[in-house]
Amino acid sequence: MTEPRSWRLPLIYLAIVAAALLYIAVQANQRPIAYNNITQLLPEYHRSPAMAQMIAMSADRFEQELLFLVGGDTLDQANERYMMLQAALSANGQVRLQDSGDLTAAAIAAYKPYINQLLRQETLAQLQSRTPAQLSDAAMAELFSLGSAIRPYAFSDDPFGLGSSWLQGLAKGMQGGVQESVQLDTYQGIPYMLEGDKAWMLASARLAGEPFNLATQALVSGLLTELQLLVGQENLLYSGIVFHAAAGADLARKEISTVGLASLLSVIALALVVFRSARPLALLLATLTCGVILALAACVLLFGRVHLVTLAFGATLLGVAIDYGFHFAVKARRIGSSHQAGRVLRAPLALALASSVCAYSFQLLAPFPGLQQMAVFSAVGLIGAWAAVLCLGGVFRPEQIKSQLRGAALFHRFFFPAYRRLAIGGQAPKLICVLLVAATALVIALLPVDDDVKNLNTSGRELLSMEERITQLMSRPSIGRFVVLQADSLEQLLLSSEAVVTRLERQGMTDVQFDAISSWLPSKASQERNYELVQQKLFSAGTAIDQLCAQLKTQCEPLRSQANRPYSYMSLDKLLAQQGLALALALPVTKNIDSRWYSAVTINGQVDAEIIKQELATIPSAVYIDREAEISAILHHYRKAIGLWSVLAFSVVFLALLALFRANAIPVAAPVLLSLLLALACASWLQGLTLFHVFALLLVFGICLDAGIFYNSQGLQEDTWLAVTLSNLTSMLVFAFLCFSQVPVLQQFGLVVLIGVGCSWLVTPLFFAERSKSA
Amino acid sequence: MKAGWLLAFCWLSLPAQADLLSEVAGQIQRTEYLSGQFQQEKHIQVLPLPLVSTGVFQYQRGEGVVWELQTPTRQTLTIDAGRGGGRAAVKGKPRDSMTGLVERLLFSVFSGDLAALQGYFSVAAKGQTSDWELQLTPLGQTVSQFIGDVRIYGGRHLSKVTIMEANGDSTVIDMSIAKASVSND
Repeated sequence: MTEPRSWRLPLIYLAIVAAALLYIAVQANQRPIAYNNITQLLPEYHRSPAMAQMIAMSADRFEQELLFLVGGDTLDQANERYMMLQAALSANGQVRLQDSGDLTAAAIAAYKPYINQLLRQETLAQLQSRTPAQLSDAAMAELFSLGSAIRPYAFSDDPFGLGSSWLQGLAKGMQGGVQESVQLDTYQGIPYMLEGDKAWMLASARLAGEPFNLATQALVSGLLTELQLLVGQENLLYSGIVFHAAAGADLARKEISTVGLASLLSVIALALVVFRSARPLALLLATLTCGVILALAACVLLFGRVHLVTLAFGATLLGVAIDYGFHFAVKARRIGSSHQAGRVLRAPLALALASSVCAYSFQLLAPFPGLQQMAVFSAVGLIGAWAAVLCLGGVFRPEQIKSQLRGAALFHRFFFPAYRRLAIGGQAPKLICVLLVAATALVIALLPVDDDVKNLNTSGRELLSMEERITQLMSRPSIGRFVVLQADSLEQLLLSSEAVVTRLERQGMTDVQFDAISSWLPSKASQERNYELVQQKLFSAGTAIDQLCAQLKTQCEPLRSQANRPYSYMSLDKLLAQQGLALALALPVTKNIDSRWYSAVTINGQVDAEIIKQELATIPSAVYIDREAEISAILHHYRKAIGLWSVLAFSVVFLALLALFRANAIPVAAPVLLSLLLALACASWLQGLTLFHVFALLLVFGICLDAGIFYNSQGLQEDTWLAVTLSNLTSMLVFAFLCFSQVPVLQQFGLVVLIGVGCSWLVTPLFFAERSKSA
Repeated sequence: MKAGWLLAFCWLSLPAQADLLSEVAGQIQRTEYLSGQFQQEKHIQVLPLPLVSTGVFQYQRGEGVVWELQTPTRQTLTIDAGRGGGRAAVKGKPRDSMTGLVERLLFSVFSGDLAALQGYFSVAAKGQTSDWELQLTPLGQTVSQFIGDVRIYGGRHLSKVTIMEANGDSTVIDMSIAKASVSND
């Protein structure tokens, strides 16, 4: 007898889904709702807001910088390709080529009024140790040397070459971050370097937009494709945060498409093969679609936007949410009534949902923005899928399929007899206990861990190896390691900067350069001291200037009056006043935040962090920042914390199961525990245990517990086994794809879930075989 | 009409210029050894008289240049020919500093390394192989901030270099060749 359809509930449900879809569309129209800066998924290292802002600003400075290397077998060939790159960048608008000449000109002009008070350590030492006669002789000799043909300041402005020496010291800061020891020549005015027989021309550029903005990434990706076509992929190297972010976004999109498509195809294939009808398939697809829409809407509502890794992870949700659809379709087909199937499955479906949502909800308590996002996405997605099954199941009427369910024969012929054989005589429980103990021992004994920040890489191997090649060719400042100075006043900051640089440079680390604010702007105390010394040794009556003029047989007063400028304190504002942008971008990040001054000292070259920390130990105003180490520490800390959270979550759920099922809770929980331990042991052994393996255990828990709950309520029967097999198979297929992902995070998820779900599918029926009657 | 003739003249003279340039470069490159005296006059705007210095120089193909200032002060500058194509290294100074640029230019002039010169300047040739002039105009702001113009004169061998600085000062180097040997290839 055909049951009357009730449309009210399905319509209400569909209206809610439609509203969610509309909300997403409106939000997406107003602003980008997806982003891919993976470090924003992690909790911040504990530090003051001002320090966090300072570090963010330092990171922002480097995030805008780009480097291109265009290669050729000859300089002419490289130059020709450079011209193509230059033309393409001019047309692009997002990326602007930088000319170091702008900065040189800006520096020459900005420092001119103050050259008599700016002294490098070497110049200071010479002035202190030499007599006026010796200083005059040195200036004279310099005048006759061939090199004196090129001076930034005319002789009349700078007879003793003080300005030249000062600017020389800035050269390292003006090479676009390229180390002084890197051999750079120019060809046709463009810097180049040789790598074996290949010449590489360098182009420094600056990004106009934000590197983590997806629209900017899309434009830059397009530019890169164009450049690779123009000059040939093998002749172009590039470096910059935006390339990694774009590659990460690309990869995430591919993974989402791959996993999403794989999930979809596996669902379609299995549904058609097993049910041999489009109705159950339609129900399954509707379940998945509604679940994803509601999950996405919830994330956008709560967080404003969704990370691409969350979406990639969410694509795996499909493998979990499909459980409900499969169970419903199989049960309805068997009973012959959607309405009754809904009634029978209401409790186990609700319990399965509650256990999964409970497990995911624990993630909300962890201070991990990424984890919270994934938790919301997964929990809301599951609730949406569950509601879809109950609300829409009656519309699709899977019970009206007349054909035989495929797979049932397999259960009766092979699996059930095997399970019964193993279960009889209590062999299975003993076997399971042995496996449990062995798995636990394995986990404890073989627990190599991996908290390396490289696990967060989303940009793929190719880009990483290009980055390493560029780093080898030309050592660049480390954006992950630097020193932050802080002080109550700018003068104290500059004094601190001078002290830090002196202390660090006395270590004698070759091939390491430190660029600090005091290298560009000495403290007031230093400027005054320098000026006094210059007056004393160079410009006072009877000193070096008089002796130099005598040697040159010229009147001294005109030269003295032009070269000997009155003292005027060079402040930061004065330095940047006229030549603002060019110098501002070159200066180390220096900022007043909440009435306190902060500045970054960048480190160019490989350094021993312990030596740096040791030298800075007695300077409380200096803090050594190592972002990589901090992120690794965060991963380490939260791997343990999430592990404990997970144990707590599992324990709470287990206690709830005990309260509900009493002694029957053990066969429900035991296979789950075994699957989790085995997955953990394999992950640790194969990849080294990471935070993301621990995250994935929650997913395993959700999928595996569902199976136990359904077997417990329905028994080990053909339809329950078939539904569990279908849902487990789709999950395993999807996560098997993830195992081959280039994104370490997704790869780690894939491994744990594949092993965990596979183990659960095989082992869970064993715990219910003995008490189940033959189907 | 006049403009048309001028344009035609310029257009026609370009290939001739390029030929002269490569001939001059080839001529210089065939020099195996060169030694002689030099007189350097540095004209500094604020000084009434030029600064005059004298000395001797020696160039050996493949090895480098020794530039020895003898009066009024003694200084020796040794420019070694670098590996891989004659890039010059100046002892005691960073290679990529502006103060090393003139030394590298000098070596390029002695060795006829047109490519090295073209790394910093656009090079134009005038005259003929027995009496030529090269005009070097800086490329890029990095060099043009310091150097306005460089001219190199010569006949069978190098004879004079003038450097006009952007700040108005200038340097004139006159060379008289005492000994030279040229290869036939």
